[in-house]
Amino acid sequence: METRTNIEDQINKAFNSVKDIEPVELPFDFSDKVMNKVHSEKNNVRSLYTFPSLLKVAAMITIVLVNVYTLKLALTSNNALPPAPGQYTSINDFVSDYGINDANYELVTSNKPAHE
Amino acid sequence: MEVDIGELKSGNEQAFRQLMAIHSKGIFNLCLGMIPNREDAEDITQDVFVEAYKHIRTFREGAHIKTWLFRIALNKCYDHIKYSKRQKRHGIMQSLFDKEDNPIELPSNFAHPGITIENKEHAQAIYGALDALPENQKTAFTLYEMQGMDYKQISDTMEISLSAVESLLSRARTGLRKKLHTYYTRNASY
Repeated sequence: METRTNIEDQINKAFNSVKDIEPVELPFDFSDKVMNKVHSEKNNVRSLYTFPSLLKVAAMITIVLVNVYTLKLALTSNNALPPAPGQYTSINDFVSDYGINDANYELVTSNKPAHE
Repeated sequence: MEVDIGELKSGNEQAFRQLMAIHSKGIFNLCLGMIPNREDAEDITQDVFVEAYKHIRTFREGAHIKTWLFRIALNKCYDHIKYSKRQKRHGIMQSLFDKEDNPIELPSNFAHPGITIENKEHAQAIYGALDALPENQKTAFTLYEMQGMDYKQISDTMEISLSAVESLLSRARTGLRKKLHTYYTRNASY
């Protein structure tokens, strides 16, 4: 019984302890600290627009553009270039160039082995 | 005494310093109520005013600047508490203790300069119990008991109805009493 009363007493003391809290003062230079933070954040934002930062962005854009151009060229150039000597675009060119006769021509175009 | 909102919105530094002179102490003590550590509370108070400076243009004319600042402060405190809890959760030792066996975890970095030495032990216990309560119950209790706000001011700050404030306070008190009872019973038995 005594312990129970004691515990209730402790609980009430805990509740009262937060009622008696004294208001706390901030350091005198608090406003200066805040203004310094505000200004440093402003400078950080501004530093994004300085010459070295812009140069970095320009370099990045140039690299991306060069890569895109190179890729585009690589993908389209094969079809645009004329066939090199000895390179045949169709089987008919190959046949006419080597003068293959009709019998061989059928074998070549059907892709069947000659002994069949 | 209030600051000219127009001056604040135009970025007048002097007006902003005046705003800080009026409200910084209240914000700081609110933060101390939520986070009982002087350094952390001061850092959060600084962040509150930096945020206010950046977003003063979004402040609605006719609203109370004090309530607006208090809301920013509460959000900053919630972020800090969440961050601290996440850090704690990563501790290996934390996983070894069952929550039921350990209903109150006393704040490790408790350094509230407004609490007298004779009250420190009990205050630490109630702060530990408050940490285990849901966020909104903790806020309502802190605003009412530590900041001395009335129901209307709490409902404006928390953007809830008066009956909700009443309910939150009642649940907070019941929850705290239960947790403190377990804590003191356990301590008395040793």
